[in-house]
Amino acid sequence: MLSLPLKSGVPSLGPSQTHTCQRHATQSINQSINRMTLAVALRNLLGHLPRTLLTVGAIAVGLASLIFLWSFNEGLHQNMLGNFQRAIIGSVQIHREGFFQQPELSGYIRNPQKVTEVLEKNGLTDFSRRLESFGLAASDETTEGVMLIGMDPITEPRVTDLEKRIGIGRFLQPEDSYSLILGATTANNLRVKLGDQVIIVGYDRYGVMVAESFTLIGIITSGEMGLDRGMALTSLETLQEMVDMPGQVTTFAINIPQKSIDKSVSALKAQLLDESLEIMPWHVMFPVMKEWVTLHNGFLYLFIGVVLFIVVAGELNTLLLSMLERTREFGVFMAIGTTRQEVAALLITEALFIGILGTIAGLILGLITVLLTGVTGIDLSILLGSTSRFYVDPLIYPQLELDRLDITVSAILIASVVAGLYPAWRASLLQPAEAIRNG
Amino acid sequence: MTSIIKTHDLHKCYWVGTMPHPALHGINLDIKQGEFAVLAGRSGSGKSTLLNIIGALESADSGSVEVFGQNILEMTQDQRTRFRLHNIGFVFQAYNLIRVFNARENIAYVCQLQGKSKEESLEIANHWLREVEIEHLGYRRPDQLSGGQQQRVAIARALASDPKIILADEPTANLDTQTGRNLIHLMQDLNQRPGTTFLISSHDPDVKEAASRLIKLADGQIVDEWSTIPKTPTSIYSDCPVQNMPFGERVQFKIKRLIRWRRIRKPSKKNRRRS
Ligand SMILES: Nc1ncnc2c1ncn2[C@@H]1O[C@H](COP(=O)(O)OP(=O)(O)OP(=O)(O)O)[C@@H](O)[C@H]1O
Ligand SMILES: [Mg+2]
Repeated sequence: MLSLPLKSGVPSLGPSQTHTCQRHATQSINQSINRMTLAVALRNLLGHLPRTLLTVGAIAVGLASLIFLWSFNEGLHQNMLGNFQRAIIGSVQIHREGFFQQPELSGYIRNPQKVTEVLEKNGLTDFSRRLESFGLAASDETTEGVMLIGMDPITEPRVTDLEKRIGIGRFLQPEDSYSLILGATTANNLRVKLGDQVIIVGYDRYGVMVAESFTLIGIITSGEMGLDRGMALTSLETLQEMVDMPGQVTTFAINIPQKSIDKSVSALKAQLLDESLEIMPWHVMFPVMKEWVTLHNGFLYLFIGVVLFIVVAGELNTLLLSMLERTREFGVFMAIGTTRQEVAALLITEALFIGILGTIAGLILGLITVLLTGVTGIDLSILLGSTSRFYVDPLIYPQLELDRLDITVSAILIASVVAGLYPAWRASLLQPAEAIRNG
Repeated sequence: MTSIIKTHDLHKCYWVGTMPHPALHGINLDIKQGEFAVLAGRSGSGKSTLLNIIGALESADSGSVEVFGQNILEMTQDQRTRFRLHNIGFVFQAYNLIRVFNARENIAYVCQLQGKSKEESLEIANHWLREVEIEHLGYRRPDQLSGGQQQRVAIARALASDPKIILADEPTANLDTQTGRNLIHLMQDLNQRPGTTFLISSHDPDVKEAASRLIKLADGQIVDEWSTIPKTPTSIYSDCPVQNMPFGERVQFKIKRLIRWRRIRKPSKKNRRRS
């Protein structure tokens, strides 16, 4: 019989020799196995690089498009709401209680000095005082009901963009007296043009009718129905003089950054408690706009659900394939002493790895896209045309919304764990002998 | 000599669809410590099945398998896994190394499973690589090794966990004669020095020649002489109770019965319509 030449110097091997790994170190077992699971998962992912990259890429593109969508959506909404607020109403308005429902001059603000003080104390310096009331605009030929707004030509541009929306003529100036600005539709209906005289009929605070002749110096051509129709703007001083209410105002229109509107409103409410004033943010005055945004977001959620589903399905597909492909190997893993839980942990780890890598890549891709388009803007003029712009600019700048990023990212991560659970469960059901035979 | 493996009246059926196929039919086996036992038998005689059941890789229908006095058929999956990890080393015909590990890591992995540190495990792996004389190939992955070299790694892996038993299913079947012989000598040497018990299935004459004991298997039964005609079960269903049919097959079985029943009823309707 041939005898195998063994290496010299190898100590003789008894049943209790030192070169085997029988051990009872249960505590370190878990640790070292976790580390091993990690290592094996990494090897598997690297070993199937094309497939791994494909899955990671799919998740990345999915996440990037979600980030972009959120940001575009946010940009669109901010643009729209901003334009809406800066059109005429401002972010927040303060009036005497009940004035918004019934804008009569008797509802003027009794202590405007206090309001001014409180606003300035809260750092809200972008505000404009107005005197507002219903009135009638009359030309030689016809009349039209209008909202009469007397506004301060100096402070008004801090709150609204009216100045930029005057297509014909010019905006009010401090030295103007009895000058008038009308919307394009109203001007059209009255058949008046720049420089014409328009009679404005109003009521003073006692309900007595007053009428004055105004010179038309500007026409608003915004394209928005709400602006081009039914408004007559003049300077605050002129209107105060006309209705004999010197120094009195009915409205404070304030410009506040979107995010701090609610905070500012509650601060103002607390500080102006006993003044019987209504402090109304834009969405209280015009709830339709807010509802529209909510509805729009709802559609986006639906879309995100679909994208998430596709991402999960893709990952599940990859993991299942990679599991089937490695059935035999899992059988071997089990045969040499890996428990089913460890095999399951391996697959979940792989899924998590793919998820994390995809998330990181998606974040980078998404952020780059948002930052780039945030600078260049996205031109919507082809889509929107020129008929009704609904307060949307043709150039939208996507805005990164970090609040929603965490939801999106955790959704993707949870989705990848879920996608890993099923193959892991399947793998843990494998019978080693069967797996080795069929693999 | 103490018994290390003891099987009693072991039965195992496979189900091909809803058809039972007896693979083992009343196996009584007693392997003593330190044996170099070889299971011989024609293809399909049940060698792999028997090794898989003894190695707790597969369950049996009835009978008992005691390894070190523990009935492995009564263990849970996880208990079996732990049992394999500490007591049994496998060598497969198809080597079955882990593809993503190199030779050294394949061996070290088992030690790590047993709770050794990475460094220690790799040191043990180095030792066993030396033992199977491929220490220079430790950093190669399985696909960079020849069949014989892979099988050496597999043997090293099986031994690294310090098992009492090595179960080897046709370890030389994929190797050329000379490589096969070298491997047999390697195993014999490992059998003699550390006293590891070997149970090898093979139809390689060299392996049979090296055996300290030859177990002849024919049609799922142990026979004394090849000429003995094994007794056949009176009915396959008595050997393979229907309640052992796997769940999937049982559902299939029931669905098939349902379909057959519908098929019987349908033509009668047609007939009625025709008449
Ligand atoms: N998964 C299975 N499903 C159905 N029948 C099986 C299955 N595995 C094995 N068999 C049958 O069981 C019997 C024993 O198979 P086994 O693999 O144990 O034979 P073997 O002696 O190892 O043969 P070989 O020398 O070819 O490897 C064979 O008749 C085979 O057809
Ligand atoms: Mg076989």
